[in-house]
Amino acid sequence: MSFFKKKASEEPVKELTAFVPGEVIPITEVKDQVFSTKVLGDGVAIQPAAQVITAPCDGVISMADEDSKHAIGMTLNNGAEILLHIGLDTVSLNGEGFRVFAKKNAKVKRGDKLLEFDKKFIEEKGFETTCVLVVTNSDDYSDTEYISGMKAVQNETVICRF
Amino acid sequence: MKKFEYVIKDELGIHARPAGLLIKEAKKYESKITLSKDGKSVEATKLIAVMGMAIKCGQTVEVEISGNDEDAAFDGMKAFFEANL
Repeated sequence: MSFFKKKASEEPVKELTAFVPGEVIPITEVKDQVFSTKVLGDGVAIQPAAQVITAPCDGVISMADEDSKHAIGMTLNNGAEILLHIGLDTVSLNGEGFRVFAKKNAKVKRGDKLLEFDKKFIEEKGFETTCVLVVTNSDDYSDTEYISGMKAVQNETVICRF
Repeated sequence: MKKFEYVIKDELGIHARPAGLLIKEAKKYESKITLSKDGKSVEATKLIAVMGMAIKCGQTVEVEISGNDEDAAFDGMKAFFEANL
């Protein structure tokens, strides 16, 4: 019955899938206090086993810094704001070792390619490549579940449930 | 309403770490605090909006504060910028 049908695009986002494959760790175990103490918000992190970052859900790109390139912001249709931060202290690289595909204000679908990074290069420069997902307005989503402690398959394994 | 201008001295500009601390400071106050650069303004309590301004070293930002606790917020924000940025 069409009465019960709802367009898929209108459904509020309920799950975030792994934006890179690898070991998922609690945000409190990230080796950078700005994340582990949740100053930026609650979230979850992945020790990357590959180098392409994909959208963890549908949404709109709210930030794609063309200079420093290591962070992407997304606004979801449930109002949540997420930040994907690639590597720790990687702002110091001034974009070296990163390539951004995401464009500000563009609509993206889960699994769309957002960014690519050169893991070896970043590690050789002495930086951790931990990829962190932060829900920056997590105060408004207090019953959000962050799931860690497993090896995630990109675009498949659920790492967060609203 | 009170406001001040500040020239960023942190060589990395306002990236995730200082932005996070800035938001934490701004959230302490009831007053509405906005950050402007080149005619673009964002609320100082919104992390991605603040980071999205891509404020670099040497650039001037204007901080505008209005509300009941604007005196305390002005002092707090000014001290924050001077200590961290």
